[in-house]
Amino acid sequence: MRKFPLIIVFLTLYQFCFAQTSLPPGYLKSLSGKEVKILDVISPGKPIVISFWATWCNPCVEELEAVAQLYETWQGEIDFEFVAISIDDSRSAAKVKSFVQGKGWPFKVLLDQNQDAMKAMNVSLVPFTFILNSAGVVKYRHSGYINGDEQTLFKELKKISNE
Amino acid sequence: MSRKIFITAVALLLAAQAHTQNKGLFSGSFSSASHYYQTDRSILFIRPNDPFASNNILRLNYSQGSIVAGLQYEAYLPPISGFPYQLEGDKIVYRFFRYTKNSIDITVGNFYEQFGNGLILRAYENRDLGINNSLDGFRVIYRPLSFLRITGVYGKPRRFLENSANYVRGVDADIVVDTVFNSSASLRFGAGVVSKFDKYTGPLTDFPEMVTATSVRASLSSGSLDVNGEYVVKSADPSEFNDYSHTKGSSLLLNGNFTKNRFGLFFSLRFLKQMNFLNERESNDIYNTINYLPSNTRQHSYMLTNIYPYSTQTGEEFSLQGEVNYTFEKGSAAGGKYGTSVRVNFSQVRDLKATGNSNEVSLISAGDKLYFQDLNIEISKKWSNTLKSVLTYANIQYDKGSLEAPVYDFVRSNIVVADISYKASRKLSLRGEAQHLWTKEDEGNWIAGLVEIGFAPYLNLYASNMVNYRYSNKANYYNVGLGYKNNYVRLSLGYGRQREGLMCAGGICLKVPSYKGFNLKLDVNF
Repeated sequence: MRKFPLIIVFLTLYQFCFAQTSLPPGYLKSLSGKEVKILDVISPGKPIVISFWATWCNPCVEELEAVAQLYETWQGEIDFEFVAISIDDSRSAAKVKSFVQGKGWPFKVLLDQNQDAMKAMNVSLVPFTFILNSAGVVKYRHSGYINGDEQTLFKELKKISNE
Repeated sequence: MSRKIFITAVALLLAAQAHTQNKGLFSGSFSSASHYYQTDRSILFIRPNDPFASNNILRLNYSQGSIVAGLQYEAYLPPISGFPYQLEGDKIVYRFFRYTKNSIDITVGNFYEQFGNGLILRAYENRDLGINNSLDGFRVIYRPLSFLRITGVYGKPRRFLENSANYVRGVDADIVVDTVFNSSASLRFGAGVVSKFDKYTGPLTDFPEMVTATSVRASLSSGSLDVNGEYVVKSADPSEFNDYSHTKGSSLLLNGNFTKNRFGLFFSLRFLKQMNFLNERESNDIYNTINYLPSNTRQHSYMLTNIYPYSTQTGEEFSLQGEVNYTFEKGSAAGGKYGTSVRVNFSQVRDLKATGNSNEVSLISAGDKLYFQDLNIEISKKWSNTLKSVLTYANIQYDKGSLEAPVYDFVRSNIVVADISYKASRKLSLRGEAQHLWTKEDEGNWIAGLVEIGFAPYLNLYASNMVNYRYSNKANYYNVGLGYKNNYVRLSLGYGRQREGLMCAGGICLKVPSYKGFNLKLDVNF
């Protein structure tokens, strides 16, 4: 039975190349605290960028600030949706709305207070960003933020939107 | 049990194998954190007999239509520094089957859940601190009408690699009024009740084995204004940690936001009295809680602003917090070409006021004892396409004597942090942090710095140091490391010293010991 963990790891690695992630079923909260069905608010049909973040995470805020600065230009080139999902728990979830409004971010922000969507998408640390194609399947992902990552994100977004 | 787990796992993997023939989706993640320790007497650290420690978590999910199934396998070989030793070993600690169709959502097996603000129930995972109190049982979420949600849970909380002996059960409901009246303002009401049964075999008579916590809450959201409130009562829960007191617990939380064009104001007020809600009454630790009581203060992100973090006093506490976020418009005098963001935050925590009746305190009150106070200001400015800065000032007061041990002082500190980023080219960037903490109490002044080089999108290198320079035998808490990431993998390797102190993640703080050595982290998402 001690070999069992190894079997699991091996089989998982084997499955790796077949793995696919998409939007999970379930609910998130809007900034005003209302429950919203994920598949209703993030409708496929165009490429979607999903960025998991938190108000206490400096690299997350840095990445979203960089995207906010370029958002208008990007929208002029590609028809896509950008959704920032906050994983702030009840310590700071209540302040996300004032934080976001104070920053004047132009994209949609939703709350995943008990981190259900984060877990369903197998995210274990923030910032974590996905690009889903118009069929709703994840085609690109990155974790962490290095200054300049937003350029790679846009390049990948263009590639996916042209598919 | 092992056989059952094996069958579950194999079934899941076979399902994954078959997914290419149908529309099922298979996904997962693997996280690993390993340490290799070295003895370092200057920080009073002696390496353990086995210098290697490793935490590993593998998660697999399979979804097909209305069905989602998954498992989480964890191996602590043994657990890394700061994690509870009871985690040592390996096990499939989480497996579930979830069916969601129309108004019904049923989970059998392990699940996470939160009622309201978590004051009566929060089953959650915090991998940074090794907390996982997921419930093992079943959960039903029923949405019979568009404005009504009812959740029922029944299960045993996870404790380290096993389940606790006690069951937790609860029901919670939310009603949204705006759907009914179709107005622009929305009103929500909610209520929940959670109970646990903990058998008592001691000599005391009239001992409550069943402990119940009940919550009612309401929220109003109207354009730029949101106000939320939650009130909780908890039945008597005597244990050795409250001197077998039969005092009932209670809590009141009020918070809200006022927002307008690039302006956001947040305020919060919380009163707590005897709100420690433990699953097993004999174990007063953060791994054994049913509810969630994070500190009502700002969670800082820099090294020196985290020297004195606050940890909630569940026995009695009054806290308030206010925060203003404002962005000066692009093109204005203060905003410059790219806009300037300002964040001002204030929080204060006190005890509750005695009612005059010796041991009794009044819930809606603020006592004379100041546990903690934090006033901080942060200014973020983008100067050009290549240069950005974040300046932070914080004044933190921390009653270390009351919060940690009576031998310590009341600490008054001032902290300044300058965080500057420079983008040398499309790929190459540099970032530097300079930090200083002034205080006449406790360990005296600290100085810290960090330098980071990034090669987007793959690589970053960093070196940091922090030193307390009051004492002649000062220790440098240095760290160096590099990180690599691509579409699936994030890998980082570091070497250095970890300071003993409180480590806080997601609102909960844990005292972690010092160590020196190598650390390797791997995260794979697939």
